[in-house]
Amino acid sequence: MEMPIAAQPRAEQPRRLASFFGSAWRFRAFYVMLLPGLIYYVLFKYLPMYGVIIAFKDFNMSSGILHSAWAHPWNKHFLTFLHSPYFSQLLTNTVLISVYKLLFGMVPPIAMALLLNECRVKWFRSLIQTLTYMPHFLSWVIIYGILLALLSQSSGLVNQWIKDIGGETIPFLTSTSYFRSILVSSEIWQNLGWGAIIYLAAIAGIDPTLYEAARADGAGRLRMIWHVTLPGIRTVIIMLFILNLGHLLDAGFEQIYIMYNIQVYPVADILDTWVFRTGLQQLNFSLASAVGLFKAAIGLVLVLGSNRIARIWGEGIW
Amino acid sequence: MKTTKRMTLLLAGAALLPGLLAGCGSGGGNNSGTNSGGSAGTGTAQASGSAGSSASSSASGSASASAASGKKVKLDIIETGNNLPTPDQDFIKEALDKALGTDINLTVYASGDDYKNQLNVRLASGNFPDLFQVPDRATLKQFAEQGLLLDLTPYMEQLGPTKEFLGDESLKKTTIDDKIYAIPKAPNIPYNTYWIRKDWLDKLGLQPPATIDELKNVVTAFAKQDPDGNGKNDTIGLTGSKLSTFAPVFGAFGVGDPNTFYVKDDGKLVNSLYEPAMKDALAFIKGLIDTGGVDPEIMANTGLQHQEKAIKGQAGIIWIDWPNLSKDQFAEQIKKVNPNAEWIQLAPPKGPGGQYDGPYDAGGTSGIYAIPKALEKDKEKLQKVLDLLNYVSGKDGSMLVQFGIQGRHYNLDGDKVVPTDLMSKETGFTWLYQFTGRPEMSYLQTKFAPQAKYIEFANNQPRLQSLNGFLTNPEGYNPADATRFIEEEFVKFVYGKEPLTNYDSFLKQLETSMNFKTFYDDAVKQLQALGYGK
Repeated sequence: MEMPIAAQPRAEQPRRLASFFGSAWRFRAFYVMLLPGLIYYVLFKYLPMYGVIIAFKDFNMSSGILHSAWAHPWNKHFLTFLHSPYFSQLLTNTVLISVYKLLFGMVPPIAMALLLNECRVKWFRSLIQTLTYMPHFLSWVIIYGILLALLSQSSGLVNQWIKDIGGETIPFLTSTSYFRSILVSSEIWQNLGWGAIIYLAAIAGIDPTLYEAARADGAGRLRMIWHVTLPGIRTVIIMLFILNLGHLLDAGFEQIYIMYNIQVYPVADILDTWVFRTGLQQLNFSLASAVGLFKAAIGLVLVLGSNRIARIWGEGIW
Repeated sequence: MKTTKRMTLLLAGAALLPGLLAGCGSGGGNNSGTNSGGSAGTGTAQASGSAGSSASSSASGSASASAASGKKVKLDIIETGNNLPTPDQDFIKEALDKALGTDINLTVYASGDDYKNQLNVRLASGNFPDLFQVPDRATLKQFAEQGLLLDLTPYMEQLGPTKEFLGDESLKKTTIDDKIYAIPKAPNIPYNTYWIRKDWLDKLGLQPPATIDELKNVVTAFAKQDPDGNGKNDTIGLTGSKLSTFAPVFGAFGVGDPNTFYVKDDGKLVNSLYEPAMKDALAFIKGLIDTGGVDPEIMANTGLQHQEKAIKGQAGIIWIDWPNLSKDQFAEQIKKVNPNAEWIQLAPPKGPGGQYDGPYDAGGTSGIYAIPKALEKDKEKLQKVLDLLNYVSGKDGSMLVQFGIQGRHYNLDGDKVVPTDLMSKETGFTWLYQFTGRPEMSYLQTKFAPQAKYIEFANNQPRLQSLNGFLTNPEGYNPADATRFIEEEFVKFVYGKEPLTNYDSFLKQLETSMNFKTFYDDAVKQLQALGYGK
């Protein structure tokens, strides 16, 4: 496919426009197919964004978004957030939990996809695949129930075993030293199979002639994984990583809200749980959206920044 | 080839990015525009077709008048609660609709946190329920300041039966700046006590503990001496939910639970945090926890996880309300696990500061119900809401929402209510419709006849009169942060993560970084204005 526009850097404005409409007309079927998606995003993602102005207002429910008074000073709600005694703790927790999830959560689905791909017994492969992506459909309440049954200090199975062999019980769910590990590992467990799907799809897209060529050159299975499969899905890995970076300040509200308790707040309380308690439950909607905007801004910077870095290696998304 | 791939990636990226942007801002973005669904009432709820011409003697004349006009007025009501049957099985709804010419759509939320969130979102999006529960007085003030609530003062004449039912004194609890903004439900009598396994005591040859030192011994013995006789070290001495597990222990030192206001015997208004005896109480609780007999997960016991431990036969003492341990269904479960299990209530153990079964909120209500200001414009609907409130306060309506349908769930023997077998089976949810409360003692004694002695016992224990229910929060004080800080530090003290010698610096930090001083001063002023602590 040739790209005529890119070839002429300083084309005149009208001609450029004309050629855009020209090509748009030529590919009209594609544009029509694109339309529903565009409308969806405009309607449900862009239009509601005008609501962020309440971050700069003293939102009053009976006056509504447009008629509430402007906050004075304009950054009042941002300051409340920055000056909260828990600000640094919240930020640290959010970033740490997120980074742990990102780092430790990246390799297992890839490994899973590779293993599934190499498995030649079809029924076994589908069985494992189904079993591993089932947890994705469990809500956190249920997963917490399972964790409680296993790890509870007073009635959990694991601690019962420890007690039976005469050991000291371990406060997995109420101690600051275990809580983050439990968070991260339960998240990995939940998303292992689901995360593998996208990699499997990418692997399926690799040109089979590459494998044949490798085999002809005498490569074994491991060699083929290393030289064909992994490079073949490299783009997907990097793209997912960059997109996930944008969610760095979303450490998983639902999971933490269900699993935490006052004893682990120092390591578990994140921006979103704080916003829920302080913003939503106490009617400080302006504060809540100020924090939301803060998070979105940082997320945007991270996505743009990481893409730039990825581009240095020739792998950026755009 | 390469370019196509690039293009696909770019498109995928472009498609995902806005989602990510908007998703991040979910805190603020969501509450704009329309509400998040679920507002449409259940369309299948039309139970009785013909207009209620047979409307029984209703409390106010206007009710039957508009019932005759034949149009059903839809009333949307939300509150916290559970076990509401589906509309077609809900005989209270049917009876109320018939009497008032309404179509009541009641929605209940099991979790208080969930409810708060839902309510806030609905109010913010302008999708007002016609009658709703307000979580507490502090929230009532916030709502009132935002101009969301209908000032009921001018309507008091129309609310005659309701007012009579509640009493003038009670309405003070929902009065802010001389305006009545809501209907306070009369408070429940206190339900909570320590409960203890009598059969375990007998097995170990112990007496029910009368002092806190004896309590400590029993807690230790329950955990260490295998009271259930299964040869395993798997029992817990004491359980409960959060720090309230120790309410009677705080009481034994003459102090209330953390951050409660009350008036001492000498007439002085105090906050439990500033009581010198608070440190002694914390030291004792630390000792109690050090014995290893206290459930290590009290802080993580949310909902009714502690109740489960008691029913399963794992815990020997529990701080809980009588319904959750002695109602028929739970009594059955307990017997199923162990036919010999016997739970008895325990009077608060004595300590250096007397004996109190925790604080009991004098300013509390068992629910506050408000009408949105927006209803002012819809006169017909507003009238129906007022009718409803009057009806459930009047004789017929009150009987209905207390005991169910006459002839089916109860019969009258003179003035005395005689329950039928169906009452305990079917009327468990009727309290959800008690928007203005109920005559507590007679209600409970009738409806829960088998539990009567537990009800009376719990009601008769000495309690500290806490005044927190009267308070509202001043500007600049963030109760979420402060509550967290207090609870967090208390947990550190009792689990020995921080020495008690740091208690004073804890107070200092609370006052400075959490702005607690502002709250405290303001609270004292508010309470003194109400005549406390002079």
